[in-house]
Amino acid sequence: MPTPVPPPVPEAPRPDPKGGDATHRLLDRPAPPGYLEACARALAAPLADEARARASALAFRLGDERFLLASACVREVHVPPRVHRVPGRTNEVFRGVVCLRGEIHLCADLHALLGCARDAAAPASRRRTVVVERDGERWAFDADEVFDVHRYDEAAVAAPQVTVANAAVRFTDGLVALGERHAARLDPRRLFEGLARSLA
Amino acid sequence: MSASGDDFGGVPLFDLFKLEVEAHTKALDEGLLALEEAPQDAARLDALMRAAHSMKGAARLVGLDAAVGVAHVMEDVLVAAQKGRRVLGAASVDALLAGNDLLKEIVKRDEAGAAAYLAARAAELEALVERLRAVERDEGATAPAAPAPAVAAVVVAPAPGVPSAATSAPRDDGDAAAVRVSATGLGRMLAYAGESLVEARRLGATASALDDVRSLAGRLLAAAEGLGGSGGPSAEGVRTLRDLAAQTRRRVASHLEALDAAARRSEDLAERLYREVLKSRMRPFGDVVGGFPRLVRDLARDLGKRAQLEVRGKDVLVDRDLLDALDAPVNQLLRNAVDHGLEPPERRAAAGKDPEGRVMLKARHRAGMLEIEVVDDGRGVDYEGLRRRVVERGLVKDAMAGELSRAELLEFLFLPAFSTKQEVTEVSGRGVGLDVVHTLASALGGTVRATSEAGKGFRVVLTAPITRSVIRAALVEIGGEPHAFPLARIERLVRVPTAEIHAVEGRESFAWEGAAVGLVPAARALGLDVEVLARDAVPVVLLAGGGHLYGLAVDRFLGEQDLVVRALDPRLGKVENVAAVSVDESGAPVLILDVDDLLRSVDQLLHDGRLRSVRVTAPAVEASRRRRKRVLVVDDSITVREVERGLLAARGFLVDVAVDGADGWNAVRANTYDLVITDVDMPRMNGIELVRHIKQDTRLRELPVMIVSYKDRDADRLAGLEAGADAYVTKSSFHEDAWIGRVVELVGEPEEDAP
Repeated sequence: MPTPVPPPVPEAPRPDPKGGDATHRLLDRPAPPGYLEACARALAAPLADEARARASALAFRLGDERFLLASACVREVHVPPRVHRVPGRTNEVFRGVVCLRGEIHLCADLHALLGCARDAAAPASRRRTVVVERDGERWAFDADEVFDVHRYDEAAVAAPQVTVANAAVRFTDGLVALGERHAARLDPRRLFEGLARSLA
Repeated sequence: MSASGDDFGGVPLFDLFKLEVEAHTKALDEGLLALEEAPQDAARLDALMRAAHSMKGAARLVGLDAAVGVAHVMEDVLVAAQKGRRVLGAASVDALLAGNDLLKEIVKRDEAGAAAYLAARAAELEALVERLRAVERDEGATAPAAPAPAVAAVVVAPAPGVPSAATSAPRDDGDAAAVRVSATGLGRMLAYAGESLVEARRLGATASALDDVRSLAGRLLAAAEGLGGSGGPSAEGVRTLRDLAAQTRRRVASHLEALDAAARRSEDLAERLYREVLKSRMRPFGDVVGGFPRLVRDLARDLGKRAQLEVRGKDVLVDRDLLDALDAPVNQLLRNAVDHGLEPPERRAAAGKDPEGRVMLKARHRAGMLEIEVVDDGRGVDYEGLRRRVVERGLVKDAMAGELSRAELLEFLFLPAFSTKQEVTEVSGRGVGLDVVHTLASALGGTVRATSEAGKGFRVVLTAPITRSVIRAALVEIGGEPHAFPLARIERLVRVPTAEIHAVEGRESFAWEGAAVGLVPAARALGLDVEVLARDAVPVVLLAGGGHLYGLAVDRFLGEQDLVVRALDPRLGKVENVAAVSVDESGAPVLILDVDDLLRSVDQLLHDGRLRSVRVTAPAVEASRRRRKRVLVVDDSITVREVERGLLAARGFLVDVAVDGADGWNAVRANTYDLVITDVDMPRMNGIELVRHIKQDTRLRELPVMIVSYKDRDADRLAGLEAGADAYVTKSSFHEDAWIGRVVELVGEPEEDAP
């Protein structure tokens, strides 16, 4: 595919007309025949599927449910550390504090927040702690399994259904195909609000 | 400003200019004072001249022409002195210091601010340059008897006794974000970090070297299997086996040795790296004292006194945050010493003292704390005068005043605006601004003590933690998780045999040095699920508070460790019983417990236990239908607390007490009250903050609050009411009946029918 060339720069003041003659002749020569048409065709062609899949999100599993969270919110994924309860504050959703690479994070139970069953059968070796951040607020939570960063097409996001885990629907803004199944895409704003409420 | 936006090796040029000017102005401040003593010190003159010259060049680079002019003429004056054309006297030194001050002012601002500052002061600058030129031309004829007003405006030293914004404000906002580390320190950190990288790679090599052990073990196994053939083991087979086994052992031993050495090296390396990084947070005390000799000199000169400041302990290392915070209180103490402590030279001479007063500033580490002492050899405190003054101000009744000890009398000096009038200063010789010192010190978690001997001088000792970033702590396990107690707050760690624990009325206690100590499971005090472990002896943390000992039973002792203190996530707010968080050696989070909070929780648990048992034996039927109102009294003085508690209880209120604002804040959230009565000056959280917290909380907003304070100025009253207090009562106008009347006015009669 020919690479589109930027249009010539409009007449610019020439610093040294004597020395620049050859260069200008080179740049001012007409385009070869068919070049412009080829450029136009290339630009008009529909994008291949992979090029349209611009949105990216981390795919993970809580119990039986699969979720997506925008990659922009994801900071790191770790082997689960030990959680330390905070007296008077630890509750069903807010588990306590964890230390990851020397940094202290607040840790939430996303299963509880989203109403997903815990997957007791899942091997512990698959379990991961995900650190997410939005507007400078960081949270860590455990997922039963973390898949990968999934790329998808924004236009192909379906409206959320009530069939998604009952509590999770409040935090979901769409359904995205993930292999043969669907994953619920989490709305970062609502998710972080829900997490913040667990501290109140 | 053409060159100004340029970066120089990634650092904005103006920042480099700032660093350079800060260093040179400091050198000039110190050097010029020394020059006054020895005006012809050639080496010093040369150094100062070069400092002025460098600043001139730097100012030109960033395009601050006005600053170039000032630095230039300063350089000229110094060159003249160097060549012996001028001898620099006090007046010339004053002029040079004024120029130096101007340059210091410039670098307190950002680039645009500096230009604006210079532009706004064009006339003053001209006067200053003129004054310096005059000095350069001829010292005697033009040295102004008193500096011209326009020039005085440039001088930073403010009027005596008035806290100056310029000197007490934090130096530079940029300081918080950027930390200056010495090149050697940084070099060492880099070396350690590089070395640890090498070390980590070497560990990988060690691991792969274990492969040969595995292959040896394989051969060993094969040889052993070969032995099992018919006819029993052959002699040769056994020999081979023995050889292989011996080889394996040798290899394992050598690998073990290598691993052991690697572990030791890594640990040592990590330790050194950690210490070095920690050290980069520390600065010598000398860094903060740079401007003080100058301050003392200028102030004394303005007041017609003679004073000399002696600084000791310049090498004492202090956390940089703390050092900045110390600047203001130390400044105030020195100011007090010169202004109110030292007598004029003639009076000193008459009293047989050296006409030149001596002020001493000492810093040292003592019992894990930083101690800063400001001592003067001035007139000291007139205790009888002070006693009269306390009565005059109505702070204490006449009869009681007679019984106040000297130490108690001195405490009054730390009350705000205790003595603002001149005659009081004459009598007490002290007082102005000491409340500022007290407030600043308690904000740092420190204390202030004063001692004085009439006629001989005054001494103030300010104690503060050396660092707020690292504490020595005892680690214990509570509820299966690690928690830390600051070592300084623990009385003892003891193992109490289960047989020696007695339960009386549902309360557990044990005997310790002849006294019964109440015992509470730490997990219960923290509100965690209690899991009772059966064991022979219980590990107990002994804490002291309010003259009592309390025992906290923990799961087990984990050891002693230095912990880097970090603030809890602000989203959690103040967590009851928890002061901060840290990370232990295994990289797991540790909660650092708030001992003051805990003492209150423990006290409450013991107290509640007693209440419950009383209720069981004599159920008050009457009480169930009527509700008694509950009042919380917050005051750090036990006397005030007890007086108020007594009065309220006598009137029929239920009374709880809290020992400071933070304690009170925990209490109002944990229980339901009908009224809060609070003092203003308290450690940890003051009364104003407490009121503000209550009034900003949606659930607590309606809770009435009364402030009872020694502070009786209108401004204090206003601050209290603005924060949201419903009433403000001063302790000096404290009449028992009127006060109880005010309480009933606010909340009604102590009993009401239950809803």
